[in-house]
Amino acid sequence: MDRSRRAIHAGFRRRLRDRFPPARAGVPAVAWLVLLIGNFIAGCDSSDPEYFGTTVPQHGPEVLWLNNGGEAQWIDPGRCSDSNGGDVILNTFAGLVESHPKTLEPMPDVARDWDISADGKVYTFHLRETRWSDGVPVTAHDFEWSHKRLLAPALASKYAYIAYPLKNAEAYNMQALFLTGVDLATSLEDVRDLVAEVIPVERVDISHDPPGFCVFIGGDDDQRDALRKRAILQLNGRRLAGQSLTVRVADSTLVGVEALDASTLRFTLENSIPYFLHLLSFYSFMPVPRHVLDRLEDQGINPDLWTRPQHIVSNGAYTLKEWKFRQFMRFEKNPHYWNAANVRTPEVKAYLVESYNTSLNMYRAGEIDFPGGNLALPSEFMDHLQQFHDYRYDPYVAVYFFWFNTTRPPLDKLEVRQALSLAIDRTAIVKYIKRGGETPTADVVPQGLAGYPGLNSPLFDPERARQLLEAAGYPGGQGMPPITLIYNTSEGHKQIAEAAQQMWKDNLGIHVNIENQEWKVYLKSMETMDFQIARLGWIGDYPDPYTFLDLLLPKSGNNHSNWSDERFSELLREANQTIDQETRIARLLEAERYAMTQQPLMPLYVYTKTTLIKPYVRGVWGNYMDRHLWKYVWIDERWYDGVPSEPVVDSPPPLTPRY
Amino acid sequence: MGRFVLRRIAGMVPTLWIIITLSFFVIRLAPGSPFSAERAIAPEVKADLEAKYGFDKPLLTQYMRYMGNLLRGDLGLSTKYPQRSVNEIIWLGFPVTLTLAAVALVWALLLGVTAGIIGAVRQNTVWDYGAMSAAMIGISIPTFVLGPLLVLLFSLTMFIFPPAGWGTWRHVVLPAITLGTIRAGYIARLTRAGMLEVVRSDFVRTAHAKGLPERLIIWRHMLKGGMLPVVTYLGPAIAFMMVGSVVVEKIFNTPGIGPYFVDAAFNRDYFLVMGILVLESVFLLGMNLLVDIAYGFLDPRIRYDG
Amino acid sequence: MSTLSPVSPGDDSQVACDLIAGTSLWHDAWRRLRKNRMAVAGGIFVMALTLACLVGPWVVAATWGYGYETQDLNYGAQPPTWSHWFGTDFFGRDVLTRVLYGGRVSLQVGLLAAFVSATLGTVYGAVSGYAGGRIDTLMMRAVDILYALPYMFLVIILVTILGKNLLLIFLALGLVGWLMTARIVRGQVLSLKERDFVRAARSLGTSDISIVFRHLIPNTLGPIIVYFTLTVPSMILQEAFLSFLGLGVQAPRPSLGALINDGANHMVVFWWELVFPGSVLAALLFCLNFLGDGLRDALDPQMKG
Repeated sequence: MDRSRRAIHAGFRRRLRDRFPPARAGVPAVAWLVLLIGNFIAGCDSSDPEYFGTTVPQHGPEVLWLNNGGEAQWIDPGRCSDSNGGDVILNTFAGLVESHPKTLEPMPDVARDWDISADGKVYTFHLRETRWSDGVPVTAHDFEWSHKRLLAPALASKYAYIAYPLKNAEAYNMQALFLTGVDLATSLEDVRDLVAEVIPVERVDISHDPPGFCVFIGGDDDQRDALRKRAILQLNGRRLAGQSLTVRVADSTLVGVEALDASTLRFTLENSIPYFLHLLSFYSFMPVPRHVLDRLEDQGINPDLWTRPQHIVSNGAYTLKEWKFRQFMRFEKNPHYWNAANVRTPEVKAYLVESYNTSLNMYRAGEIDFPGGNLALPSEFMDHLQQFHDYRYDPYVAVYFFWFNTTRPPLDKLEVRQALSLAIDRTAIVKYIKRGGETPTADVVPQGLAGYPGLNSPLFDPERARQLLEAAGYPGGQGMPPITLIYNTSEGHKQIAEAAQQMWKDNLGIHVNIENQEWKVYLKSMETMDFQIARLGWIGDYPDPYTFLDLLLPKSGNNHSNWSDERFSELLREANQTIDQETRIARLLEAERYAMTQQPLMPLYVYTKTTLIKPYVRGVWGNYMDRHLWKYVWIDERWYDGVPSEPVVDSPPPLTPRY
Repeated sequence: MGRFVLRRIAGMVPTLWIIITLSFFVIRLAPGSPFSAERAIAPEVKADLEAKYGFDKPLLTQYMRYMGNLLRGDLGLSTKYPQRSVNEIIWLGFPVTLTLAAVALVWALLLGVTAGIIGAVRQNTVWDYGAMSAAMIGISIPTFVLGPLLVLLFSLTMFIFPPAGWGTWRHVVLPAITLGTIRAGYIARLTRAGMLEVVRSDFVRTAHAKGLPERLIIWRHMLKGGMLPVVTYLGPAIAFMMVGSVVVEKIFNTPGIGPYFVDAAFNRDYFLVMGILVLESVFLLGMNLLVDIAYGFLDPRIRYDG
Repeated sequence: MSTLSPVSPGDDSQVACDLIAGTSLWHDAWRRLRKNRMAVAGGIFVMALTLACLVGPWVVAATWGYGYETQDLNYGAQPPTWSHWFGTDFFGRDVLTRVLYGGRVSLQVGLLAAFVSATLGTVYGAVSGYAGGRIDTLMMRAVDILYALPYMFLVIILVTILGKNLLLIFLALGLVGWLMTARIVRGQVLSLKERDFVRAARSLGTSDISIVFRHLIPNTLGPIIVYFTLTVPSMILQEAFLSFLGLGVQAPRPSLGALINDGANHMVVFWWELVFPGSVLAALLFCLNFLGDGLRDALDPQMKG
């Protein structure tokens, strides 16, 4: 450390001499004074011009310093919905499967092997003998309980929907009514009509095992409890198709997850979805130590506090040892982790710094080795940072787009929407504004997800855009009603909005107003559809096209276009019932093509994750989901003695074998 | 004396009540809810969350309930940090802000009083002009300029102090200097003016006439005179530091309560905003009271008659 | 964040000194001011900077052809050169032009907000002092209560919630500043209203409004002006403070505070974006403070502090 400081100071003096500008006449004295101070400050960039900041680790090789982004809201797998908490969960808990750190291929973690039924709807996992960090064995029952807890209405988890592919999971989470005693051959319409006599109905689904019908309640959000009670009271014992009805609220026993014994867990799905294994590597599917929550309850301690360092028990590579609110979390290697032998760094200190600016300052000073995945570098710095060896970027499964409110004139005209989309030069936006190696796109689904070929819609065609505008009845933008594009207050979004505004003016001759709104106000406008065009970024939950196409379903709650189309929903439903992956991909492509002819939104580009990593940090590989598990990361000790002469061969580990 | 304090405390109650009531309703005027997010939440989930925080009740009921809880010292739950109560967040953050403000105050007093004495004792010399110009420079460099400049110089260039964080004494130095320097400027000017005031007074002239040594005069009489306006200024100074901590703690990522003022309001974290505001108001009102009492001890001419 | 008020709450008696208007008063003041070299230098610099802010952007536009929002993405984030003395920002916008334009916005906000607070404070203080009795007690009690409010925090909350607009900022800043003016003016009026010329006016049947505005307020102008000059830098500072927190003037219009905020965010890479606006703001405040000090000494030699 001392050595590095001396080197820094020598470099600082040398640069100071080089940079000190000679006095020149003709420039106001004050400006020069200021300039001198500025040069003095800037005269000493970093110790090695090849790298951004220090390159000598400021800590021992047994510890890793990184930034985990801001304060985690929850590190309880059942409750977490923020990426800061999610990263902590992925590193402290072990699920049935994990994603390969480079290819994201699912590989065994707590499960040592699994069987999939021929129809792709039943998954049976065989668990290893593993232990929680307090030595208690992890069983299949823990997983069953945790997944049902995630769906429990009382927990009010924002990410419960991630488990909806499990059979009857949505019914349980939404407290749908479960009707039994009816012949399954009865048509859904008949069931619906019967229930609709008493209460508003949103939708009816059939359940084969156990047999019955799930009725989702409609109506006002805050009255559903009352409706539920009324329906049970009035419908119980009613006759339908000659049989007597039994009505109850769907409970957890209906959900398609079951522990057959301590080491075997069986999932039953609504549909065969090929991304189910990917889904299981998501943090919401990590197990929760039921025995700890029960113990806290017995001791009269609020069980919500089980994730505090003094109580927490986990089964992953690390355990949480210290949590300084809004400062840092300190983790130590968990000796009970089944694969502890392959965890390379014994200790991790994760800072909880929300501002990228502070994070960069700390990185430069060597206070953190890796700013972490939750902070993207602002585009302002790209040009400058690209020249350093410790800069890197990787494609990221997220798309930036503008929603069109298809019920607000003139956006109710398809041609107008198409014209607006074709008039944007996406390549220029990526090249001159984003500058982080993003891929321009006019498709909702990024190419290459699970072998998805991509739609490859035309990116830019101003000529065609003008024709479309004319066809819509606004030749050259004449008579166009006013349009406003809204974005949430942020330098990055503003830059894109301003560029789009300019391009629409240049290529279509129309003036689009742009307006920024503060985040919560913006969300309100989105929710109430009080806008014409609005920006949004969508991050995929798993590497499959469905995570993006799902967005356009009318009831996803995330479709902000007022566009709903039965044909599109039907295409997606068909695709999800297809077992053959190739056919399924083809169906999904067809669905996307159909949706994009309707242009309910206009995508602009696929994100990249840009970051800086100290050269002495090894074991971080780029992947689509920006997942970097700490257990693979290690410190290259040669950097303590300066820049090593030979590069490190640092190839990703092989897939964990199934047996 | 006791009656005076009691009266002042009684006078604080309506002020506090106005602040709390006003802010409680103003915050609710803002569009957006604490639970809105990029991804839609199921209506059932949202209803459950709202019930947990009591947002499903009519506003007036919520207000009554909040005031009731407040009297019992319960500030409610945070929505941004759902597993923490506002009490816990304040309990964790307030000592940090106080430490920072205290160190900054010590720094401001050391620097300011020294400069003030130099200015007063060597009145109208180069020393005086130098000290007063330095004080003026201190006043004129806003915290949000000084802070980043110090980081640039000492953290990113010389690697002497960490650029951000909290925990060791090294983390306190830069933010405290940033927060304290501007106050040092004011204190220097106040000290100098106060001392010069005394110089003109009869008892210093008498002391001079008695042939007391210069040093004794300075320390015994002038300094006491110079301290009076400084003590009065301590109340506002601490108040300004609380405001300044909003910026300084943001720059240095200090885990105090400063940044919540902006962030909690942006996040519509209703109870956190309210909690911080209540805390800050009580603290400031209390500081003003303390200053008034201290003033009474220092200046015997002031009497607190009922 | 605000500068210290030049008069502390207990100083009313000092202010209530003999300030009956006379030609010699203003004449003497001017003479005293001219003798104060620091104040004169400060005044000259402030005027030069104001001039630069007014015509500067125009000159730059005429010479090099760019305005404060002209972007040149191919020439982004360049350090100072001969064609861009203060360098350029990420969009290739000239930092010098932006600093000058930002200075214009900051000066505008500072002057207007100080004016709002001076007007409000003067009228309120004069009415309260002239009315006397219960009304006076009541009005001053209100001032005391308002004085105890944690203003900056209320302003921050107001701006975050009601949205950022310039009018709101003026109002918010003006509201913070008027209390002290009101107290000073009231103190003056209390002593003035028992004077012979006021009594004479009253006996002639002059209306109360006329007395307040024609006789009382003009005679308190000295302290008002002093307090006004000291409020301007404080207002500029507070606007910059809000802008730094992202609550002030809306982009692409820059104010010095907003520029400094950008600069602080980018300083790890582009130092010039922080150093130049920061220095200009500091220099501006420095000179305004000196000018204010000088004016105070000149107009009211008894006010010290």
